[in-house]
Amino acid sequence: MTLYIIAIGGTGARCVEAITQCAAAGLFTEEPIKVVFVDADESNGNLSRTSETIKTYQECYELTKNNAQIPWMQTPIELLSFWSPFSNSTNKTLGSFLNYNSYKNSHPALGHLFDVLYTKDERETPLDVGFRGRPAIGSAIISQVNFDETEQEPWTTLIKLIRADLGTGKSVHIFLCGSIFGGTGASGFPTIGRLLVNKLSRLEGRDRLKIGGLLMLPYFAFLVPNEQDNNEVYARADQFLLNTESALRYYVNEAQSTFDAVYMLGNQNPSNVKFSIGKNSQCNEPHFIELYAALAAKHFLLDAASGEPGKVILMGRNSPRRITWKDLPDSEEVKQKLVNTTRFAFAWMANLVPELAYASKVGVKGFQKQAPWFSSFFRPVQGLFGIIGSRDMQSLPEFNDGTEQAAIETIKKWCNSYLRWLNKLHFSGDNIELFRPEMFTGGEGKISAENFAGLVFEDSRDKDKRSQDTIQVLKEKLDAKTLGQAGTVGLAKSLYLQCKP
Amino acid sequence: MEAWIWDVIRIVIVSLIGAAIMFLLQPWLYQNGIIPLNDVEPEAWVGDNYIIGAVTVFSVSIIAVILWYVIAAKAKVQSAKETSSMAILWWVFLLLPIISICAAIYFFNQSNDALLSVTGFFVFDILFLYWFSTAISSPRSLMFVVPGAFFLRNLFGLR
Repeated sequence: MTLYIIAIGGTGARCVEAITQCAAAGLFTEEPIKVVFVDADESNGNLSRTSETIKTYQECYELTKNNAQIPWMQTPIELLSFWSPFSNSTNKTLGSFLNYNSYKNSHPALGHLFDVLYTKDERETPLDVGFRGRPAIGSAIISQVNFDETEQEPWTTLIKLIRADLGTGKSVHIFLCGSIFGGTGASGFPTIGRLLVNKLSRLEGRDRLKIGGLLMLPYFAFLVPNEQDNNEVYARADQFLLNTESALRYYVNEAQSTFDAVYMLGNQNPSNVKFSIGKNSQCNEPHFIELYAALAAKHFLLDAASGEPGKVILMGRNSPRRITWKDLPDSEEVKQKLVNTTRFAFAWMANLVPELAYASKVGVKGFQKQAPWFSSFFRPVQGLFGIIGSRDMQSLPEFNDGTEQAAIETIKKWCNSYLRWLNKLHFSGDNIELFRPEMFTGGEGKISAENFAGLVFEDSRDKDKRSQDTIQVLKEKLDAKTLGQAGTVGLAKSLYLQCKP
Repeated sequence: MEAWIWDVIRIVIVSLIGAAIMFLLQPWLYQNGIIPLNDVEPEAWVGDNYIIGAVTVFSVSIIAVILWYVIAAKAKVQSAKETSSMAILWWVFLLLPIISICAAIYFFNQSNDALLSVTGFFVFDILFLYWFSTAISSPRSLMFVVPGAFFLRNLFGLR
């Protein structure tokens, strides 16, 4: 059961960022997730950050794969490609892309129609920063994609992969995500969805193919700076609701014929983000609603197939400005896995990373006596009497080996990426009462191991149990034999196992 | 079974063996002339001097072991670096049995012939009672802090 995600625009990319972090927490399955990004703005900050997140995940996954016993990093995530409608074109304005000048001369009537539909600014504004919050521009450009043309990558590869999956009897889930209120998402979502359905309807095994969509309703806003030229074409937050309203009217009829399941997410308290027309500066921090987006993808993959057609499920939070564990779908499983992963990432960053750095400084011989867990995972220095010691120890990896040191850095990088994401989504506007993010603000060296027991909101344990919940106690239980794996990866997995709430 | 229960069992066994050595084997060596004492009557010296000294050294060593274990078990050691201060504490507790040997020899030994051998025995006894038992039975986070513990524990497969 493969999940293909087509992430459209900056919001789509941010949803994939959340999906990647949730996959790391074991909220998906061992089946692969394959991602295609769609954006006219190749250097979009949101896209760059998500690509980096996936790269970090993949590096860590490669290290830790074959996790039969723990859910951490169990999902292979593959970044298939990035597609921009301007990939093969030097014409990056609406007018030049659709040959406006040529039409104007050869078919004046069409040219006049074009003039009615699009202003001169809209025709001539460069679109390599995205569709500037104008779905009408985006739809005209994205609809030019042709799945029947062999050179249209990554679509050809995508179709081939889907065909191959269906051919081997697997079921395939395609999940499109993007915003309904901006430019790229709003225009790309229905267009690509419809084109895909048309193309895939001819495939054998269509009944094993499910197409789902996630539409993000307005959840952020921004103030346009005074110095911004009013006549320029750019996204305006005051048009978000209007765009949404029009788009929803379209989906009332259209969505049912295209999608097997549609998810819509929004927030009545939009958070403020920095104004940006596009490129690197369009890099909004993670938002809690994107966690819901990831959970929607999870639901689509694991549960939606059994849903009744036409059934509408609504969910909302209990308090208007507050999010608690109970407000999340599948809250018990989600809480358990997110808490496990967060405790692990926290413990790794707050304690294991400084400890292993200290081990490098003082040397294995000194450190192994100060940290009993160490010699369970790394080959100890046994001195003159080493020959009497256990032969098993000789087969353990060397701590100073380049592979082990690189693994420490890779896991550290992933923990940083995960904790950063988790931290930022707690500051996305409302009161997010899942974790206490102030305890892991600042990253490496600035998080205190003493906060370990107090990371989670709604902790029902009594004071005694909490006082015994320390990283030191967890370290005492670390043992390479538990999962049968030594070295840095064995250490990380063993710690993950011990961090189970 | 919890690791600390095994630790306690090992401490009890080592203490019993230590007691047997101190109160049965070593007096026997004097009483049977294997270690000859010419300036005192061996039987009387063992009863009036040796046993009192041995009880002192044994008791102080056991108290030192218990103190070390309890304090080490309660210590909140978050990092490897913090174990250094606990290692110092172990050496401080070792001073207690050493002082007890000095006291035992100073107050309770009336034989010059026995001085060297009894000092040697008592040094062996505190090594066995304090060092050996803490080396193989210390709380997990400090299990290798005792000198030689890493080797001993690996030798006996106590990990």
